[in-house]
Amino acid sequence: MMEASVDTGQYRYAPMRGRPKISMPGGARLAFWLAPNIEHYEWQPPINPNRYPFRTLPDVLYYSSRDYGNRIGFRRLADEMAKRDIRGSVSLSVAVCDHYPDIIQRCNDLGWELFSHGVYNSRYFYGMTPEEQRQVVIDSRETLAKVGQRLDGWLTPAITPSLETQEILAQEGIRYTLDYFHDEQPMPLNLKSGKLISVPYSIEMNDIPMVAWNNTSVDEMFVSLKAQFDRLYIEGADSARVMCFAIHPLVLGHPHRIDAFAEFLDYVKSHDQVWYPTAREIADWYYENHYDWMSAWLSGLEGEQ
Amino acid sequence: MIHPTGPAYLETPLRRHRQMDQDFYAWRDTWSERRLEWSGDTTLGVWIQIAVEWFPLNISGKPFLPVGAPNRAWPDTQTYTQRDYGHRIGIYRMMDALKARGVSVSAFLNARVAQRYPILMREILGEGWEIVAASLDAGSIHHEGLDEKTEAEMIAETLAIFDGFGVTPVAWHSPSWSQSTRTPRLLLEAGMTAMADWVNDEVPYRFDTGAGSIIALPSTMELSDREMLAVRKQPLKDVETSFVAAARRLAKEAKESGHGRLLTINLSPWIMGQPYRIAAFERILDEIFAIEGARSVTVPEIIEATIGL
Repeated sequence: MMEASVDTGQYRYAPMRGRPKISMPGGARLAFWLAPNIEHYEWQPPINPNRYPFRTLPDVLYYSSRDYGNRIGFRRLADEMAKRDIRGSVSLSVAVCDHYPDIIQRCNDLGWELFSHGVYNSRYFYGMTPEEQRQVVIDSRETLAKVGQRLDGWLTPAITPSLETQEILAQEGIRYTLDYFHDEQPMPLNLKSGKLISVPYSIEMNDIPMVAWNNTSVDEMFVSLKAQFDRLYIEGADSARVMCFAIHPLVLGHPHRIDAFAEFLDYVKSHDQVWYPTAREIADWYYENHYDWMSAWLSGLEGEQ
Repeated sequence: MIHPTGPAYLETPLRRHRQMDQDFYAWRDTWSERRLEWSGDTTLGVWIQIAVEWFPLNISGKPFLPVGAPNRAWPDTQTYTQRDYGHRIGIYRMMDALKARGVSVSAFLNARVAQRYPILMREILGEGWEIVAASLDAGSIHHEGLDEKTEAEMIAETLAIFDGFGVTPVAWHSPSWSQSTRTPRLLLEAGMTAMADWVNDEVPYRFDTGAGSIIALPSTMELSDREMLAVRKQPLKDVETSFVAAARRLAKEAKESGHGRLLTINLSPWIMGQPYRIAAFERILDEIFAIEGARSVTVPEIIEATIGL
């Protein structure tokens, strides 16, 4: 269908230079949000012909290192966040609601938002038809409703969307997507039908790429995080920015990393002009205050989209 | 080119309420509840696992090549002899460091090491190291593609070799942390009490093999020199920092919660036994065991300290 596209065709080129300023509640310079990825990777998943990340199947090391996040890492991470009164917006494999109701209970007790990261993180969207993808969105909405949450946000499992995925999200009433990494502010997407914005997630400030792909040490990870925060805090004085730290209990929940994470949260909290919303609250604020006029401004820009 | 997944890809028959997608164990919150109680003043048990592995020159690579295996053009003597260095030099350097500090150790030992190098086997026993049976050699990967008879024979031969030295291990480790779905049951049938392959917990738990239960001991890939140095290639200073940070954090949790904690560390003589790394190893030991309440432990003590097993 859209396999031959040279780009997504879903957003207009809109540089930060010359962009109208946006402002946040309380005059904050920066919205800082944490996205704990609470996932389940299956013991014996069906093989997706487009990706095979296992050594062999079943793969005890692959499975159990991820299971650590749900047995141990989650509590350690949630405890440090709760101590600092920072809520999470959870990128959730919604089957976690079935397998681990105690984890969901804890998230709800802490006032965390749950959004969908698919059913399992071992079910890549690669190769699924649009209608099959839609089934996962509908399943997510129904599953989250059962635990008292409205499905507003989306991150495709293992970030494997097709170009149709964002169209389906908009058609199904999803409010924001985290699949695109093109900006530091929320941005309206141009889709065939429905409304959808991108909210900045991060594939840079993300413990998996840092630790598992780039071999970043614990110290270096938090040097980077502080540098990222510092620069956005300065620039946010001009026009507000969003900083997301995407985290995984299976990574940061280990005893050799958790204290450095806690120290970073303390560092962020030592600044005055920071807003600590959930991703849903970022989307609500943006739709209410910026969506219409920013869309109008974008439509007047020249160039490709 | 993207290949279609087909409608069966949406089916999730093991999406079950309050159950895992396998029947080996139930989910639990290990962190919040009281699971470990050490004897005396100990609050932090430190389990040091030394991986003593033989990497055959013609290692098969089936179903995958282990970390550390010879993988260059035949014959990869560069890799083979570097790994063998661990048995000749590195391990003795580490033994000296550990003995000088009175630290208990578990050797995660390939039986072929004992068979090929009985001098080393007797030295290990002479140090008082506990023997955890680690199958035949580093290339003995337990995986689903093996038939049950072959896998049972690997386990039996391993235990027979150790028996020849008068050693009867109670615990098992599968090379490269790889098991077939049958491995836990075959281990139980071979008389094992415990296995250290699943890296999902920090405290032992009961693991249902389908024909009785075995104890799953904590195991670690994150806190290993193989992961941090051989795979992730981190600076030695960062590795040192990580080991010590983990120990301090767990000790702090033990103090605040009043529950015992366990730190598990896995090290390889061909990596950490190098002259340029041994001082870091000694500092790691010194810093960890300087923590109030920290003490080295091995399998029997870990099992003894576990509440409600």
